[in-house]
Amino acid sequence: MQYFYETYGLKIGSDLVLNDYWTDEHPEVVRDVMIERGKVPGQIAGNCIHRGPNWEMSEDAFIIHVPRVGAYLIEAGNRIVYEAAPKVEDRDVGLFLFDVALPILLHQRKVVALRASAVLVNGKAVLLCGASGTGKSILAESLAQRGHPVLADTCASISLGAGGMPCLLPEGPKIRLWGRALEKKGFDPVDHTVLRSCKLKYLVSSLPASREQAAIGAIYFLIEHRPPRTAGIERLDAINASHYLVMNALRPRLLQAMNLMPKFFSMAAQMSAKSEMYTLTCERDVTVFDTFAGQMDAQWQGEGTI
Amino acid sequence: MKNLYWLASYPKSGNTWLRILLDNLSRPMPEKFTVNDLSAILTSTDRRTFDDSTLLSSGLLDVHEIEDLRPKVHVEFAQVDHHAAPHSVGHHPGDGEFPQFTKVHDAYRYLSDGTPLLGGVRAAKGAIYVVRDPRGVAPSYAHHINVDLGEAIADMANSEMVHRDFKDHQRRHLPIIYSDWSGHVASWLEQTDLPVHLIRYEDMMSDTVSVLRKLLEFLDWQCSEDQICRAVEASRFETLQAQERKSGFREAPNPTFFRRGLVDGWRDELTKAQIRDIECQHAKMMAQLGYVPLNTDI
Repeated sequence: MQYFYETYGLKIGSDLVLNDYWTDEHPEVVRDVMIERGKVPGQIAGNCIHRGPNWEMSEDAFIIHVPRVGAYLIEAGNRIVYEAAPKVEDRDVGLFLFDVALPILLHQRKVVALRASAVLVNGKAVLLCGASGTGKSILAESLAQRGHPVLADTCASISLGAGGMPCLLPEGPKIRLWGRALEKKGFDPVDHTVLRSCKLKYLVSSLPASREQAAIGAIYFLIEHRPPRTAGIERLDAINASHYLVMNALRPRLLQAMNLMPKFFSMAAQMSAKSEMYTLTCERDVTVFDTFAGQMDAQWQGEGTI
Repeated sequence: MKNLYWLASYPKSGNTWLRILLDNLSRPMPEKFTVNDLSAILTSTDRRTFDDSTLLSSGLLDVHEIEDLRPKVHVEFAQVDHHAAPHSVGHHPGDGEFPQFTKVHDAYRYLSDGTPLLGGVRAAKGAIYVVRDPRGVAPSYAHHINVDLGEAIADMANSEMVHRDFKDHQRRHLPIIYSDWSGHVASWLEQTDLPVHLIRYEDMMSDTVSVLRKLLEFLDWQCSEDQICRAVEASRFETLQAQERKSGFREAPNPTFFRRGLVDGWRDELTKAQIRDIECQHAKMMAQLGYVPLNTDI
């Protein structure tokens, strides 16, 4: 059985159900990436040029192990082979395909990315960057509830569009929320897919979403409110914006290993020059995020700055 | 291998204060230090280090999956200089000639295949272990995690104590297995992988300069008496407390981190029954460390 999906502007064929992506209604179109079950070698064939605690890579192949879940071989930016550990649910294997293997494949294709959620505002992408646990998804959900379609939730992959304008390649239509946030938001957990049986994190699929590539209009960097910082939204100048962009690169080790830092810096310079950048400092609290979403929405409606 | 040492303790035992002292030793002008200048913390359970190194999102892994990888992550951190990563900014003790310290609250444990969770000799040159009278730890720990004293004392007696790993939301740090207070101390002092330098919080309070001087010998870190005295002066508890009152402390989960700083503050914070409970639960280790029980029948 083959399933057909679309993400980051790529047409994907997979023998495994993948929950996070857009379903592709044109299966006749040639696939950019094929995903299939198979044997993943214990070691990389050929010359290993970099390795980490659970991964190694050659010029065009990458093997990564997820303990007790499985192993993934990512080749030439167009093929992923996965081998599940015994008794592991397909759901878990698919989750790490999405979360780990696809971002590695993107880097093999020389695409750089930010760790961000994103929504569409007035035809442009607004990115919400931040470290794990800073509330990107909660804020994205609040903005989606205000009518701004979801573009991405974990990985914002960037390409240069016409005139060198940085653009976001949409990831998928769903937002991931932890159980506690989900309930505070008023969702019933039974209506949503849980990501793993050992983690009460859910895929929220009932939000408006867009699968169109969009120029990046603004980037907000989420920072937890801790002294001596004060809560609020502050505009960043270009120099500080570049610093924050680098801090929020997706998988910086990959950028280094794959020699993509120069490309990332170049992309960061383009984003600093052509997009509005802000820090958003707030407490990790669902209600506070909702208040900020209201403020952002009002600003966009009133000033039309995006 | 990097010049790397674990800065180990049970929570609320003076680890942060010692970090500040060491941080100030490596500063050219400790007099200008304020508490929010403290170098970005390196911890054994830092999510970002783990995620960057493994390319995985630790938030999607359970505690066993994380622990399978932790020894390799710690070894890699010590052996390879990948972690001059783009996010690694600012001043760190450990830059250049100084020793580098990683804060750790984990008990010293081994995985089922015998691998040390913290990577053993390949991940650090040694450890500094800070211990504090458990009667002093209890009120401070209760305040820190915002629970009542009874719950804190029960946590300190629980040999399977896991630093609350929740299924429905993500904590800032990876899950930590503390063990009970006595077990935590024993795990570090009795392991034979690494040399350990033991510091009693109470000694650090009463004679900071001497404690620091002995520690520097252990670390083979050359500092002048002037450097030591200036670092101690800049790290006085009352000074840090005043700075926190004025502008807060970014590492504090509660409004006050530098709370009382008294060696025997527990005498007016614990009930007689609570003191007896702690002294019964930890009698052997307290005796080993020279903490005299109030209850002479224990």
